[in-house]
Amino acid sequence: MQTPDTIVPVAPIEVAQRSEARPPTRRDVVFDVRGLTVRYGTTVAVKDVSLEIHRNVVTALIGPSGCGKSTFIRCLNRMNDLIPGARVEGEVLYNGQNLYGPGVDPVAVRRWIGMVFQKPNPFPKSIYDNVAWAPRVLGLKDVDARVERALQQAALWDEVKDRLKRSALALSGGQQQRLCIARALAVEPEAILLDEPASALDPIATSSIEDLIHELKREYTIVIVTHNMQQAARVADMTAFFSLDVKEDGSRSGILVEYDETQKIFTQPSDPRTEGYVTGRFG
Amino acid sequence: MRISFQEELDRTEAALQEEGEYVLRALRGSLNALAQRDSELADEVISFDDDIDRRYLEIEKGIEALLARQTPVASDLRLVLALLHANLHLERMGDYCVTIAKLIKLVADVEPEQGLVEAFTDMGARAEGMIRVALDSFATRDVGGASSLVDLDELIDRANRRVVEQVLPLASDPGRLEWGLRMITVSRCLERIGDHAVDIGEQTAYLVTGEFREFTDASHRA
Repeated sequence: MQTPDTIVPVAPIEVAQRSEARPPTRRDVVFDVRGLTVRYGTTVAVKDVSLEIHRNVVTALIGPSGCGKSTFIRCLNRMNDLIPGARVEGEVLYNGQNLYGPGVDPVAVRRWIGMVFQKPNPFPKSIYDNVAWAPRVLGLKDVDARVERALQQAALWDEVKDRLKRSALALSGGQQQRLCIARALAVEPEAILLDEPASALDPIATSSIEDLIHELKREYTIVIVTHNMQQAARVADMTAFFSLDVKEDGSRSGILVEYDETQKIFTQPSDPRTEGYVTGRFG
Repeated sequence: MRISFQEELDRTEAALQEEGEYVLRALRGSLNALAQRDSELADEVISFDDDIDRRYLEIEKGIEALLARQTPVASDLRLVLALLHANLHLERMGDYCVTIAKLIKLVADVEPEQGLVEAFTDMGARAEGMIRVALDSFATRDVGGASSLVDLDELIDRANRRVVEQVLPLASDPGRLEWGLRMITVSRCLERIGDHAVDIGEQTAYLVTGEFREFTDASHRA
């Protein structure tokens, strides 16, 4: 297992600095994706996507099924490395360094860029052990304090502080998902990637996750994939609309159609394809 | 896709056009009542305003339901917001027609000044024309037509400014002076109807371009 020291180039920002409240600016780029194309075998899942993701901003990726938004978000912490046959072209610059450059350790990348998935997937361990696992593996100090801080940030502490040794599997779906977010926060990453984090949750649990996203963006850079357009409208500052480009020979590939401030996307989108999708008139 | 939503939008927009036709009838009625010193017709204009208000409330309720149930976005959202504003502007125009009708009744027994009555016939016709342009350009999403309302409005504004000069000579005759003073308010009502038509034009421009802006403001005339 790598120690954090070996990946200093991809983690230039100290946690202490990050915690200071700074107004987000459009220029403060965390991810600079350039000409990203992802293939699974002969299928082009994402074609030539370029976009910048900004610090302390919630960026939503929306679009129909198969448009490549999940593939795209997985490129931001090299999760696609785990999929056989996946090939990535182009650059994903994270704080200026290409995540796909030579010598970059994908495990170290995921140390700084956490991910939460659609289905809550706690380990079959205690609540405490779920959150403490990664800090222990990384040899981080003050594990107890980290666990408490992460659970507080994930708005779960008050609900679980008296039963930290109980099984995480006994928690409700919404609590499990917040536990997974706490688990990602425990190693104090810089960015959090959320792939459909609320689609398996009821409206109340969804609302608590959305409240949490609003809180977390003060300290973290958040990218969220969602099928729920109103969720994107509610939580995101920036929204990227992905769609499917269908060629005459029937081949399909995911493309980025439009990327703008969320308010612009939902009041005055520039591209008719975005208009068609957000108004529900997409074919 | 979203067939029932589209039908609701279409229905609401058709209701707005119908409300516009009602307002045109009220305006025509009040102008005729003025020219013919017809108190009965003035009463009809006043009671007809209930029909306009009913239409207004139906549209208002319809828009409330659309916002609550359909969460419109993008051009749908702009249409719903533009309908909401245009609806209010039409309702206000109806209110001005009522004011004109009430003023006519107050001075029904006074011999009118023919020159002024002709001026109002002319102003009223211009106001009717402006309402038609406002409704048509809204329906056809015609920003050029909508912005032409500014020039049309300038003509009504000029006519309104001349009315005071025409009333002043009536000062020597107390009975006709009251008529004249009432007519200054009638003139003001016609001028305001023109302003509301311009406002509907601005909603058309917003609907098409997504930009909120006034065609003119108090310090910068077009």
